[in-house]
Amino acid sequence: MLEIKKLNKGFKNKKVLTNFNYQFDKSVYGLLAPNGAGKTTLLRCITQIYPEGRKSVFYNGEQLGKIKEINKRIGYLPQQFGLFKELSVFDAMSLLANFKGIGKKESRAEIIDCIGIVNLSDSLSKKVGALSGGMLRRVGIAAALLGDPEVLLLDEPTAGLDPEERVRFKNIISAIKSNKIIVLSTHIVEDVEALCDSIIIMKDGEIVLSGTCDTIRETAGGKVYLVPGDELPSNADDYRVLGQTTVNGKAFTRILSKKTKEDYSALPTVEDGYICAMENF
Amino acid sequence: MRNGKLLVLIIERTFLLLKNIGLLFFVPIIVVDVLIPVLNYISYSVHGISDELYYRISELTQIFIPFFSVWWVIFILKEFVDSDGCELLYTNQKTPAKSSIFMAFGIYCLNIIALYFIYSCLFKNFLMELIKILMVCVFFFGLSLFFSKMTDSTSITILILVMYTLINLIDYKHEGIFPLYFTGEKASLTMLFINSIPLAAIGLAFLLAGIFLRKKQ
Repeated sequence: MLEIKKLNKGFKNKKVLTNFNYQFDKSVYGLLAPNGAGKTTLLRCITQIYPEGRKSVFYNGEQLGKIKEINKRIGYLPQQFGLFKELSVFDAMSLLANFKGIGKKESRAEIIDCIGIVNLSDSLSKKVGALSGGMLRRVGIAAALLGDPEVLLLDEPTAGLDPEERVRFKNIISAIKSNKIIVLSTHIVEDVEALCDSIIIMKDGEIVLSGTCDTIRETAGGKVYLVPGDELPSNADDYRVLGQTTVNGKAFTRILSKKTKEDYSALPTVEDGYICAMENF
Repeated sequence: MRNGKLLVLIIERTFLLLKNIGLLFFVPIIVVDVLIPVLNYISYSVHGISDELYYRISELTQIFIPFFSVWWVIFILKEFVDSDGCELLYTNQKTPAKSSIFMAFGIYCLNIIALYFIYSCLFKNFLMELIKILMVCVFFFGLSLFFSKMTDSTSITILILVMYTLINLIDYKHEGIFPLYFTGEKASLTMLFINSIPLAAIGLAFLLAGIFLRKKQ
């Protein structure tokens, strides 16, 4: 179990995380928030890049700062990954394994396994600098898997990936998720909905809502409507536009509203629940 | 047993970090082991073993050796301060660059010692020159680590080192005026105590500051 207790983190005069508390068990968590809400800061605290994490984050009841070989227990994929571009994929992975205290001989089999999980076995001898963005991201995931960590933290793992790579990423997570705590930080609701057992919605460094996908959807229950274009509420403050759609050739607007005709009620999605939580609707 | 394993890890790490430099790895080797000896040989052909040859060797070594003493160090540090995703290398309170940059600097110094050993066969005073040049290299080492961490940019660090070297070349007197090190005079105990050793001490101070300075986040 990974537990965060009263985590506070700020930069100069700006508070980013305020009294953050949460417990993670073996499951896949989606950390959903807009840019600047504190997702990356939270992950950096857990990985002790920021020292605030040493005393406020606990793993199986013990403070992170006191656990030896913690670097083998937590795998981390940063938002940008582009290290060691002059090395081959194999050598780069060897170096990253070395940083986790795993020597060259011991890491060989593990590197081949991890690279196999991300379907890059054919690229072991290629230079890291020659890889595409999606392939580089996969190398980053493979590196995070070195040492078979119990906790995996992935910061914006699908940012900049094309649809095919995103599907590939989802398959990778599905393949590795058993018996691990996996935290995905993202602002892409679709990825969270497809992969995560639990969702944590953050705003201004605090949790505004957390729960399963159903819990998040239910937040917008009874508030989502599919309204013909000419029947939108007169007061623009009474609703939020979620999107446009066409049904049988007629244009409809999907809205979030507290008071509209029951006839137009629609089933909410996770994204609707997210917007509901963010806007305090 | 544990220390042995740690040493093996450090050696493997240093090897891969130096390999990551690519072709630029060979630049200090070419300069120190090819260019300088070739230029020295040309001077020897013209002047023979004389004071003129001594000064030519001394000038060349002062120009090139200190700057290239931190070449590998800076390119190793580049991954830790400049590259995309370098925060990954600082997880869990790690500072993994330390041992590798010391090892890389040490390997270069061994190369210099070998070169100066050959010079000392021609001119006994080159043992004094060796101590002087190693002190200057320590100063460069400290500067490079401090400014890399301070500026989060190896490009700016290289610029600072180049400017310091150029200032030395443009404005040298017969005795190196502290904190400049370049001089046309033969190395002496007085010079070591007035110039080289204080320079090395400042270098060590910069080094310590660079080690303890946290990477900007």
